[in-house]
Amino acid sequence: MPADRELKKGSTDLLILALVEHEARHGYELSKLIVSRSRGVVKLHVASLYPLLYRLEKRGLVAGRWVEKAGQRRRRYYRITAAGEKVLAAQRKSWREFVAAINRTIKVSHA
Amino acid sequence: MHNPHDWAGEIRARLAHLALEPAREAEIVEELSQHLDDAVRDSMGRGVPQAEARAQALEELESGDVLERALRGVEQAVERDPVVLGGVKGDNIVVSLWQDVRYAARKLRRTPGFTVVAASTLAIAIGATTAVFSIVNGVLLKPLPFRNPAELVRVAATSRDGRPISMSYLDFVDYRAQSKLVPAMSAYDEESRNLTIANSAPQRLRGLRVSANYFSLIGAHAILGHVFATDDDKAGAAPVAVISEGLWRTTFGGDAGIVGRVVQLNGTPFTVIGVAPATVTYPGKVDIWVPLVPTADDLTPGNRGAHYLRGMGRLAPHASAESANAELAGIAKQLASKFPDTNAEFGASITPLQESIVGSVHTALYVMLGCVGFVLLIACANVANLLLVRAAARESEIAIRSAIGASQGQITRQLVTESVLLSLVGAAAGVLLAKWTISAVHSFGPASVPRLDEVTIDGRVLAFTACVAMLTGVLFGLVPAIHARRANIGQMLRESTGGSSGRKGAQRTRSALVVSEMALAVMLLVGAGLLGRSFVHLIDVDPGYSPDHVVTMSVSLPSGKYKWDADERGFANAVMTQLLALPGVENAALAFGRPLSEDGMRTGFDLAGQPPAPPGQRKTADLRFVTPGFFGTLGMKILQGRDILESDRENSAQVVVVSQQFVKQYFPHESPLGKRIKLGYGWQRSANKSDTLTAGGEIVGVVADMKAQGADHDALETVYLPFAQTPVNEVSILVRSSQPPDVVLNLARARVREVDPDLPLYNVTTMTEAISGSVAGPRFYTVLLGSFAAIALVLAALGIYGVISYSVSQRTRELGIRIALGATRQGVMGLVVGQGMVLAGVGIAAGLGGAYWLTRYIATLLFGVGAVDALTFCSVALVLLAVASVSSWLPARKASRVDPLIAMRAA
Repeated sequence: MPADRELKKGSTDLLILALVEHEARHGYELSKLIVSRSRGVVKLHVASLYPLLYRLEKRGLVAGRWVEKAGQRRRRYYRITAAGEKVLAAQRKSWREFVAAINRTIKVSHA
Repeated sequence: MHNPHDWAGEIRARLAHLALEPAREAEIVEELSQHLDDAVRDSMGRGVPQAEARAQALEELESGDVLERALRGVEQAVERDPVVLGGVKGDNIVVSLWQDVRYAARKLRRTPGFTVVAASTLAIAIGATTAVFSIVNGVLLKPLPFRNPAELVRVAATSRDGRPISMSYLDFVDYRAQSKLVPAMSAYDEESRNLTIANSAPQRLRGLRVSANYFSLIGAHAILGHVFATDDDKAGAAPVAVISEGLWRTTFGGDAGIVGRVVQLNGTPFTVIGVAPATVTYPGKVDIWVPLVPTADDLTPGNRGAHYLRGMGRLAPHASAESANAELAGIAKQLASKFPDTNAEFGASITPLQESIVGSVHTALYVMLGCVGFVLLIACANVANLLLVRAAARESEIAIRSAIGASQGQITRQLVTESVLLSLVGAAAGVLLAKWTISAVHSFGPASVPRLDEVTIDGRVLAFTACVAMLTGVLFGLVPAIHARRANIGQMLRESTGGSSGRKGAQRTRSALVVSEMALAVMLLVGAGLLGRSFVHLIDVDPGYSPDHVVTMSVSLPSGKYKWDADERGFANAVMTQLLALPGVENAALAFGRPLSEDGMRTGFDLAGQPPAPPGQRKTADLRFVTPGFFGTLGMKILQGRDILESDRENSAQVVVVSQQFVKQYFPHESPLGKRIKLGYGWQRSANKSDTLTAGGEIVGVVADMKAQGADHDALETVYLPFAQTPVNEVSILVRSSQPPDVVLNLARARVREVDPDLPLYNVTTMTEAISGSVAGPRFYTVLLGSFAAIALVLAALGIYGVISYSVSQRTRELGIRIALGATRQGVMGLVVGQGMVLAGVGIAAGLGGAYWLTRYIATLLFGVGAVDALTFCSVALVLLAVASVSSWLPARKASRVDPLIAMRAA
C-alpha cells in the first residue's frame, strides 16, 4: 500500500538530512538511496527532489557545492551544515515520539 | 553508448514563468539534466531501450507546472542581488562598475580554493615587488632630508686616476674663496671621540669636526639651543659641541638642561650648545659635532699635501653640478701650477650629494627591481592560466549573458573587474609581507647600502603598489576576457563534449603563458647562479692572513691623557704584557691599520740616495704601524729578511718591513733588503724634542701581501713601521687564542680596562666576522636574487604542472581510446611528458637567449666569473629540464591510469 502523501511530505526533510549527515551526495545519488533504503516505498522525482534540496539550502540546513572531478562533468554535491545537524536531531526526536504515539494509539507492539 | 539527450529545452519550458536569473536557470538546467542523464544511463544498463529510458526519465520532470509550482516558493522567495549584467539603460558607469565589483566579489567568495591560490601567488609577487621598490625609493629616489637637497654637492680632491679623495685644509680654503658657482662650502672630518661621564662607563661617540656654516648649509636647525655661530671655527674659539637627538635622549635622558652642560671628550671639556634633529644623517649617523678649528699644522704651507678633509657645498642659483665641476677643476689646476710640490698630482671635482652617497648601489638596486618585475610577470602568467581554466567552466554563463544582451565590452569589463579585485586582495596581503621583509632588511641589511634606515612603506610606495596591482589585474584579466570575446556562443550554449575552437585557442594561450614563465625563470636563475658563483669566488679568495681564532677591538687614546709618544708606547707595552699572560693566547699585537679597518694612511716616499721624484711621479705606499707579533698573530708569512722585533725601539736604528706588492712595484729586479726609504710622514712628540719629521728607515723584511680592504680589492704596496718607533693614538688590538672567541674577548676587554678603565672599546669582533661583514653587500644581493629565482622556479613548475594536468583532464576520452586501441601505459606517459618537455624546451631556449642579452647589466656585480658563463647557463638549463620533467610526469602518471571504459563514457 503506498505511503500516504501527507505523511511523506512531512518526512522528506528528515530523509534528505539523514542521507547527507555523514557524506556529501549529489541529487541522483540521493534519489537512488531513498528508493533503495525505503525498498521502493518512498520515491522522489526530479520535480520534488530538487525543489526540496533548494529549499533546505535556502534555509541553511544543507550547503551545495559544484565539484569538478577529472574526466567527469561537474556535479553539485550537498552536505549537511551545523544548523542542519541540529534540525536533524530535533526532527529525529519528533519522529520517534510521533511513531511511538501512533503505535500506542493503534496498539502495535514490537517484539 | 548512451547519447545525452538535450533536456535543457524541456526543463527551461517548465521554468519559463519563473523568470529566473539566467545564471540560476543555467545551474538548475545543468543539475536536473545530469540527473536525467544518469537515470537514462542506469535504465539502459538494466536493458531498457534508449527511447523508453528517456521517456521514463522525462516522467521525472512531471508534466504541467508541477516543477514550476514546487520551485516558485523557493526560488522567487530568494532575494537575489539585482545584478543585471548587460546593464540597464540609463545606468552611469559608476553604478555599472559597482555592480561589477559586487558580482566579482560574490564569484570569488564562491570559489575559495581558486581565490586563495591566486591571491597567495599575487601576494608573494606583489609583496616582493613592493619590498624592493621600497628599498629603491628609500635609498635612491627619496630626496635627502635637507633644505633644497638638489642644490647640495660633494666637494672633493681627485687622485691621478680621477677618483674622489679627501682634500687638505689649505686647498679647501682656496676652493671656498675662489668658487663662484659654489659660494657656500663646508668641510668636515670624521673623528670619533671618547665621552666620559662621571659614574658611567666611557662611551665611544661617532664625531664630526665641521665648518661653522655646516648646519646652515644643509638647512638644519637645533631642536634645543642653537647650532654653531660663524666664529666658532676660528682659532682660539671656546670649545663647543652640538649633540645628536639620539645621544641626547639615550645618554642624557632627554635632559632639558643639556644646553650649557660641559662634557669631557677625549679628556677635553666641551660645552654643549645645542641638540641637532634626528634628520641630520649625513654622512651616516653622527653623535656629536664640534667645530673644525684649524691647527697650526693645518695652516703650515708644507702641509698642503696632508689630505684628510671631505667637503660639501650648495650650488649658486641656476648653477649646475657640471659647470661647478668644471670651475673647481680649473681652480685645482691653478693650485697645481702654483704649488707643484703638493698639488701636481691632484685635481678636484663636484658631484651631486645624493649621487655621491648612493651612486655605488644604483646599478645593483635597479637590477634587483628588474628581477622582481620578472617574478611578477611569472605570477601574472600563472594566475592568467588559472583564470583561463576557470573561464572554461563558466562558458555557458558568459554565453547566456551575451545572449540576453550584455555587450562584449560589458563582459570584458566584468571579467577584468574580477581580476583587478583579485589583484587588489593579493596586493593588500603583499603589503603586509613587504612590511615584514623591510623589518628584516633593517635588522640584517648590509652597511654598504646607504640610507637603509630611511626605507619605509610611504605614500609613494603604496601608490606604486596600487598601480602594480591594477596593471597586473588588467594584464592577466584580459587573457580570459579576450578568449570570451572570441568564443562561439552557439557552440557554448549547446551541451557539447567535444573541443571547441575556442578551447583550442585557450590551450595555445596557456601553453604560450607557460613558455613565457619558463623563459623568465631561466633568466632569473642564470642571474642568481652568476651572483652565487661570484659570491663563492669572493669568499674563497685568500685574504693573505688567517682570520680564524683571532679577535680584535679598537681603542682611541685621547691626546689629553696620552700627550707624548712615550705615553702611547707605555699603553702598548702594558696591554701586550696583560694579553700575552692570558691562558690560551698564542700571540697578540697592536696595530694602526688592521685588515678591514677604517684606519688608513697613504703617503709618498723617496728612496734614500736618490733625488726626490718630480711632482706627478711620486712613489706612494700605505702605512701601518704595528707591534712585534703582528704578522705572527695574523699568520702572515715573512718571505725575505726578518720580522719586526722587540729590539726595534725608539732609540735603535729605524727599520721598516715592506709587502710583496711593494717589492713588485718598486724593486722588481732586485732585493729590497738593506735599501732605505724616506716617508713623507713622521711625527715625533716628546717633552725633550721639538716636533720633527722623521719616518722611514732600512728595509729589513718582506712580508706576504694581505687584502686589507677586502677580497675584491687588490693588495696595496704597504710599508709596516714598528709601533715603538712611530706610535699613534688610534689602534686595534689583535689576539690569537685557542679559547672560544667570546671567552677571549671578555678576558681581553677586562685586561685592557685594567690598563686604562676610561677607554671605551669599539669594533669588538672576531676577524672571521669582520671578513663576513666585508662581503655583506654581495651576500645581500645574492640572497635577494636567489630568493626571486626560487619563487620563479616554483611558480614555473606549478605552471607546467597546471597546464599539463588540465590538458590531460581535457584529453581523458582521447587517452582512454588510445589505451583501448592498444597504446601502452608507457606510451601514454611518454605522450604527456613529451608535451610538457616541448613547452619547457622552447621556454628554456628563449630564456637562455634572453639571459645572454641581459646578464651584461649585472657584470659590475660579478667577481671572478663572466656575464656569459657556460657552466651557469648549462646548469640552469639542466635544472629546469629536470623540474619540468617532474611537473609533467605527475599528471602523465595519472593519464596512464585512465580506465578506457570510464574515459569513453565521460562527457
